[in-house]
Amino acid sequence: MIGIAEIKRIIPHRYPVLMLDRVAELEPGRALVAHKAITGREPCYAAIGDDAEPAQYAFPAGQLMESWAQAAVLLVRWQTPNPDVRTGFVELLSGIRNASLLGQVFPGDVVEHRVELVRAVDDAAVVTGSSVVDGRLVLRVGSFTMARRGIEVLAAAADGSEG
Amino acid sequence: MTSVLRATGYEVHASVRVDPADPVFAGHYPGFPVLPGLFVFDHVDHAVRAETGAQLVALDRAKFVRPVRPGDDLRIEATLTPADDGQMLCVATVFTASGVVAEFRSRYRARRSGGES
Repeated sequence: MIGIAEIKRIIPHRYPVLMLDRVAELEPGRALVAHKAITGREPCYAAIGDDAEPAQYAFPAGQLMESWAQAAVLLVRWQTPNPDVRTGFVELLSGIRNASLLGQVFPGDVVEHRVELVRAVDDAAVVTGSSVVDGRLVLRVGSFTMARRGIEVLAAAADGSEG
Repeated sequence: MTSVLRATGYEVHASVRVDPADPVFAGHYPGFPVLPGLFVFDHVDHAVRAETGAQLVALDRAKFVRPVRPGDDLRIEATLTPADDGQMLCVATVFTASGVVAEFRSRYRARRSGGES
C-alpha cells in the first residue's frame, strides 16, 4: 500500500494540509488514483456551532479541489520528488480551467481523485481528471497547471517586486 | 474570518485577515508558509455564498498571480451577473497590499429549497 508515509517522500505538503490518505493506482508519468477520507475532524468543521444546518457540513469546494490538486502534484513529482521546500523549490498551482462542482461531499465520504497527465514541460505540467464518491462524480477538472518555482522568486513576488 | 463590508446588488466586497497563527501554515509548507491558492478561492466562495445564498457549480478559470503569506490582508472584489439557465457568473479579484494575488471566474446557481445537495 502507498500510504501517507510514502506520499510525504514525494510532495512537501504536511499536516494539517496534506489532504491525501493513500494511492490506489499508479502509472508513473501517466495517471494516478488517490483516496482522501473526509471526517468530522477536518479543521474546517472546528468552528461550526450546534445549531448549524446540515448543509454547513458540506466540504468546502476549494479544499476538495486542493486535495485533488495534491494528487496531481503527486503524479507529476513521482519521479522527481520534492518533499521539502527548504531545499529551495515550491510547487505552486498557476491556473485552473473548467472545473465543475457536480455534487457535495460530507463527513463519512471517501473521495477518489483521478488524475491524468496531459503534458509536462520543464518544471511545469498540465493535469486533468475528476473526483468520485461511491461512483458519484463530484468534481471534474478540465485542466490544472502547476509549476515548480524557486523560493527566492516567490518571496520577492509576495513583497510586490515581481509583476 | 470573512467579513462582508458591502454588498449592493451583485457586488460583493469582503476583507479577510490571513491569521499567521492559522495551523495551515505549519503544513503548507514547513519552512516557507504560503496560503494554498485554493484556500484563497474558498474565501471568495464563502463571501459570495454568505451574500447570495447561491451554490457554486463551476470554477471556469482560476489564475494565481502571487503567493499569499501569513499576516496578509486580502481584499476580495466580486461581481455577479445573471447568466444562462438561471445561473450567475462571478468575476472575482483578490488583492493584497502587493497587488493582485488571484483572479477567478466561477458560476453559481440559486440554492433550491428542500435541502437538495
